[in-house]
Amino acid sequence: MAKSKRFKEREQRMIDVAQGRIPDRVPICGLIETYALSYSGVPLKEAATNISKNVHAHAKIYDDIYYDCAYIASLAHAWEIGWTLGSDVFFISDDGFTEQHKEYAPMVPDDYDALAKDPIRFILNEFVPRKYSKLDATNEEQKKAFLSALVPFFKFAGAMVYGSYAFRKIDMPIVMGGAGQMPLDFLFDYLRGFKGTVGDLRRHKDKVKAATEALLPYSFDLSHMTNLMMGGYSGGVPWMVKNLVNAIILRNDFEFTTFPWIFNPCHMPPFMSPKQFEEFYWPGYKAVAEHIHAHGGHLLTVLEGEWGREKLEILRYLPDNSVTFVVENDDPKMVKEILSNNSIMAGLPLELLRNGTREECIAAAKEMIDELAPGGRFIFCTGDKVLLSASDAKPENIRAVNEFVHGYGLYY
Amino acid sequence: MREQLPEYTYTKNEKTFTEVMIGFVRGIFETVFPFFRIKPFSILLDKLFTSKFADSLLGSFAMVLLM
Repeated sequence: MAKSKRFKEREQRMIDVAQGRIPDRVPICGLIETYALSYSGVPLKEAATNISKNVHAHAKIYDDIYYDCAYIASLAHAWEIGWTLGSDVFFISDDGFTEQHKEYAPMVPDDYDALAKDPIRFILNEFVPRKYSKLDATNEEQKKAFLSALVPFFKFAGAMVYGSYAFRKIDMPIVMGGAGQMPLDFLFDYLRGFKGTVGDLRRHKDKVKAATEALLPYSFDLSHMTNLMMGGYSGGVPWMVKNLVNAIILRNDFEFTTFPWIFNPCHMPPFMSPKQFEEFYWPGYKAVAEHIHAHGGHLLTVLEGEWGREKLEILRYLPDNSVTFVVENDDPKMVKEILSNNSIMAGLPLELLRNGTREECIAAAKEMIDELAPGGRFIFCTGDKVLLSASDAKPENIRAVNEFVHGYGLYY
Repeated sequence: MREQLPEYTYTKNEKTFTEVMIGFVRGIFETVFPFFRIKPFSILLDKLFTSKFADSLLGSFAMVLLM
């Protein structure tokens, strides 16, 4: 389906911000996950098993409320695969809509050498069977389990592809066009967990470094493959064919989509000292950001939690116009000043959107636009965190704020 | 939460989980296109399943299972 004029205008606003040009108005991007389900009244369990319900449940809020860009068109996690293979790491809240997860990171320090030797095979052969009870079994049972997981896997991928099509129909670009998983966050998010990774930075320094170096090519590969899957609809058929041929034959000549971008939530830095950040996290992060930038793409990094000035200063050394930073608990004005060669995305505190009046929310939005919009390089987003639960924000406040920013945030 | 001990895993398998998956997908290829069982087409399939592209696909699937 061809892009409409309105779709192109909205997409161009995002691209202009990322490339350091002043757009016609401040773009408004949604940061919405399972909040979209409660808004549309589709329980998570139904959305997770039905591609159409999944996508249309996510689309409704973007159809009702003004946005220039959506965050994601379907569920971000492959719930049905977890249910099929016997994992309860992700679970649904009592409200039936909100996703939650617990930490389950069954890698032990003795595994570091195997991880560094071959990350993908360690994950598939050693780690995954510890996580999924149906794969902790004989080869014959593993084969049956793999077969049973294929349909949910294709449904998960299909929802992304159908989501791109359905959102194009409502003239809504989607910002997330791939996944950028940073090497140290593999350990923190999945393999060793919070306690394990924080301890390993002191007790197993060299092993952590060897593992993150080995995980770096995997990070590159993932950004390519997920861009093909999630950005394919935007990239178009010739772009897909060219990249698939490159992937099979030439390998290193991947060309990312200019838009949508590679999404990367940075989870570990808030729990690291600036010195640890520079030693363990920065080398991998810098390499991934530079790789994506050098191949025509753009990184959307969520600065999860509070980073602080010292760690943000280190990010100044990234190439110009290579990253858009989503600000959570840091002061957005400070982040924009420090990272002035790149762009930021920031929104109102969820507490205000949840408990404030319409007038209070609009006043805060005005203040934010007045402070952050001059000079461009700024995207307004729903809130200072991803919306998950119905109680995160009042829909009427989001509507009022977005309509206000759309009218007020004009550059020319 | 299960205890984080590697000995919880089943260790008596002849093949790794990766080999199980590749064997399964290869079996589908060979069933749908029987000529892949004979040379030189079987060599082509060998190369495909040991290529870096196959690794990239495995890596993507591994990421979905990690999440």
